[in-house]
Amino acid sequence: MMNLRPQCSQHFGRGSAGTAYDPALGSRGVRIDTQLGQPGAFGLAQLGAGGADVSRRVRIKTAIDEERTKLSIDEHYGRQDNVGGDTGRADPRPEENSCGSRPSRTGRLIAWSALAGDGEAVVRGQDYDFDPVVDGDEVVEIPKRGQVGIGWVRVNYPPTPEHIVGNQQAAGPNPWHELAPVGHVSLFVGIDERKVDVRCHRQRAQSVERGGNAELDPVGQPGAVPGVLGDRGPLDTDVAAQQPSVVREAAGDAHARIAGERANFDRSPSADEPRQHGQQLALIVADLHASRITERRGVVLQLSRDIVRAPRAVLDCVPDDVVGDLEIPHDGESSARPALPAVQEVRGRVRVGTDVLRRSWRPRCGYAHGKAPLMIEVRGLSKRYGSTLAVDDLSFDVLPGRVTGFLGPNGAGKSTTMRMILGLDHPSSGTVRVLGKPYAQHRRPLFEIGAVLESRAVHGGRSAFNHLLCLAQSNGIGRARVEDVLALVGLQDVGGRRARGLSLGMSQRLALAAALLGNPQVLLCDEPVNGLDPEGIHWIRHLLRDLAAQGRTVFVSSHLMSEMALTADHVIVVGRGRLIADASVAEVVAQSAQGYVLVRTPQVARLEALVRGSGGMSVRAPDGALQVSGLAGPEIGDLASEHGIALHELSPREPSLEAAFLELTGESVDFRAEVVAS
Amino acid sequence: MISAVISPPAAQSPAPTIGFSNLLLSEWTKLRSVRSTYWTTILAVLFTVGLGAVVCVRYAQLIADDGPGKLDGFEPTLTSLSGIYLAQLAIGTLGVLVISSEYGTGMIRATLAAVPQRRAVLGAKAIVFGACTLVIAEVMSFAAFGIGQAILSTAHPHVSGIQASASLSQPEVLRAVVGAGLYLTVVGLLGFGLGAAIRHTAGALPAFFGVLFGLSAIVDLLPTSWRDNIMPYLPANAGSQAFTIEQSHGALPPWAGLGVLCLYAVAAIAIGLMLIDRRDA
Repeated sequence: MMNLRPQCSQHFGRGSAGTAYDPALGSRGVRIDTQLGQPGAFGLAQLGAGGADVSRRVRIKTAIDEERTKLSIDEHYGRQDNVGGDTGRADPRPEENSCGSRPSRTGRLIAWSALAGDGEAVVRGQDYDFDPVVDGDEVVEIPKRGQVGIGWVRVNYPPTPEHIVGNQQAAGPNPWHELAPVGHVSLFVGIDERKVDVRCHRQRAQSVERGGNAELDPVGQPGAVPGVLGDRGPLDTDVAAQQPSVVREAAGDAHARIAGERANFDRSPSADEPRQHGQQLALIVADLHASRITERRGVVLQLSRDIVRAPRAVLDCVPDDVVGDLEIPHDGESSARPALPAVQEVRGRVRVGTDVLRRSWRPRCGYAHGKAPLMIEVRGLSKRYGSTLAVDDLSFDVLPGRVTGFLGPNGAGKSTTMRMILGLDHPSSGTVRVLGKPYAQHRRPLFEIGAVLESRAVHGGRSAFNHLLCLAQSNGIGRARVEDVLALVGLQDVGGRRARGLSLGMSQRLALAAALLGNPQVLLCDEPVNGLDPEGIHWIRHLLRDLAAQGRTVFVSSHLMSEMALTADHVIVVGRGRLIADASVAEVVAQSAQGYVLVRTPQVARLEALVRGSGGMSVRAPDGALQVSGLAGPEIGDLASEHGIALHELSPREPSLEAAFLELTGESVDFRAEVVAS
Repeated sequence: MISAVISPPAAQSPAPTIGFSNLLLSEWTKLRSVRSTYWTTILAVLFTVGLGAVVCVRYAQLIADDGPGKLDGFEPTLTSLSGIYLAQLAIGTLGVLVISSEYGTGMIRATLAAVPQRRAVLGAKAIVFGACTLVIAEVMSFAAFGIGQAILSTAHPHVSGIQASASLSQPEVLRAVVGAGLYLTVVGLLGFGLGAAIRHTAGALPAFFGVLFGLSAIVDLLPTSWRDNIMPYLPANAGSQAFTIEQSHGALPPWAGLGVLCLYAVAAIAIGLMLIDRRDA
């Protein structure tokens, strides 16, 4: 892998190099709160089981710049200090790393990124608070035209208080650099046009209690592969017939990681950089459930669909019958139990083949600045109706792989902007490019962009089926597909019914079906949940998220903040036609609205005075609770306990997107109801 | 299920561009899948064939009862085609609706999002509508003629040597019957053009009636010399020459008259084509 080593060194050198990160990318980054049970989406993080304290939050930040996609992982502990900050600046990490609670000891992050172009995805643990050790697997690199990378990353956290408060000097060298993660085996599969690389890292089981006494892996010297493979033994296999040198290096890396020898990562790229052109890598990382040696065929790594935690986009590309067996025969002598020869002699044949890639998602799109795919590119867009400026110099990008919400009060210009994206309305000035070119230049738009404009953009007298059919036929799509999409949206039974006889919810589904006719990679939805019942909203939310998780671009307008908070990863907020915010949901919330801590105590007045004395602010809720802002929960708790005040409740309340939205758009609402004085 | 239907489309390799045949097929589906098409067509058939038959029955009675005196100025071909005058309203309305209903329902946005080549869309729509109308109108015209003449032939004028009915082999008759179908088609396209230019049903329908009938009412108010010069060139007057056997004084020749009507339709469609690219959908 082209830049494996340099990336490693960046990562493991935890100083400034490790955090080299362009702050300017922040606004295009994804920053998503971890939610359990959301695997696989772009930039999603999952906090796995085994954490002692699952209440903490882990974040993954993704930034796409001209050269690479970075997913960085950071975490914080309830305080908002870190939320707005860039996770990585080139300058030293923030001094104030106050943490409210102990971090859990282990957690698991899943991250994958979909990207295109000659970039590389670097998934790296980046932490300016506690230095969580993200084990070596986090480097997911897609050197050439790669599409999908998935990483299972196991993160261990330092147990020592010094590290918890981020006082590196006092703590000395971070023992976690030497600690191997707890018994975790992962498998990387890289596929290019000719070969498959399988790299497995197996970290020794290492209990946290052992602290810095990293147990060196007894087997494996650089350049050699450990021979015991039968029972999840240490394994490092790189099947790269053409480039033996890579294999050696990879083996060395693995060994170094296992042994905790950081020095091995700090080497510069070798002159004989083995990877050159035309590589297309799909990276699948999975827990290795079974690895066994067969007598004559070397290593068979059995992956089943169950254990491959891959987004659907990847799994779908892999035919059922070949998901499983990665067969890595070696050309050494057959023996009853072959110790694998030196890695460079391992040659591979893998039945997965390159089919995976041919069938994988490949965004066809324009590239801004050459690399990062900009699915929708709005530049200086304005629309004037008479004296009204409906859209005023709007510029933003919509990126693939996530749901981008388009928020604004009524009359903010959302629908106008959407229509201009689709070439329906002509901009007064500015340009819109979809997949790299103006909409009107697309020869078969339904295959590229699906649009849900308004549910009633249907001739009421035409049956649902015929409505879809006439649109489909215009792009050369057949009847079978029409039936498919009808079934997909659950309208198969009412396909013959006239559109005006459909309920509002059905109409929305019909509009969505029309958008999905060509199986497009970009989806535009204007207020898709309007008029839907809760079941319908739930359905559409999951559909949109699913589509985004497949690597598609999903752009959804809404004036329902609560809905967007659940659906969108990223939001673009407009008011009176102007751009107000273009950031992740978390950032918008963090920067625009303040959370508070809800405190209940019998001694309200006393606590209130103490809070104010400590620099916090408190507001009494009607039910007698205190809403404290400016102080974190633990601080309030300490304060109360110091003064012997009993607390009945102490709960941090997150600010909502809705509050943030009201704050952001407060000045741009056109029509506001006057509050009647009571 | 979702993933089965929505899978990454990389494997798909659609033909590079939308062909015009795709558009024609799509427009045909649109045309045949709404009821207004059938209602207006049924109305047009009823007017043309039914009304023509009723008129012919009445004339046959008059001829049988009153003898040859009634034959002065009697024109059997035109009589059997007299339903055309009402049928053109139905056809023209259909022409307006074909396009204005797309705007009225918002369907046009779905259409243009699927096919950004707007003029091609409008052109395909005009062709599909025009072709369908031509077929139906010719069938109606011949049917009306055939039924009408069959009825008229039952009347036996007392003067020998004079036929109350006409046949296609007579001079100008075939031209008139064919011309009636063409006239209906062009009137329909005029309605379509007005619908494309005006976009609203409520605006385009009155405009259509105004152009077809209202203009002559206005021109009637002009001084006689002007009026006589302008009147033959009004769309209804000019176009109806196509199915008139004997041109009255000052009227245009049949094909020239139809040509003038075509100019009106072409102008309306041209305006529609020009505007559709400029306007916001």
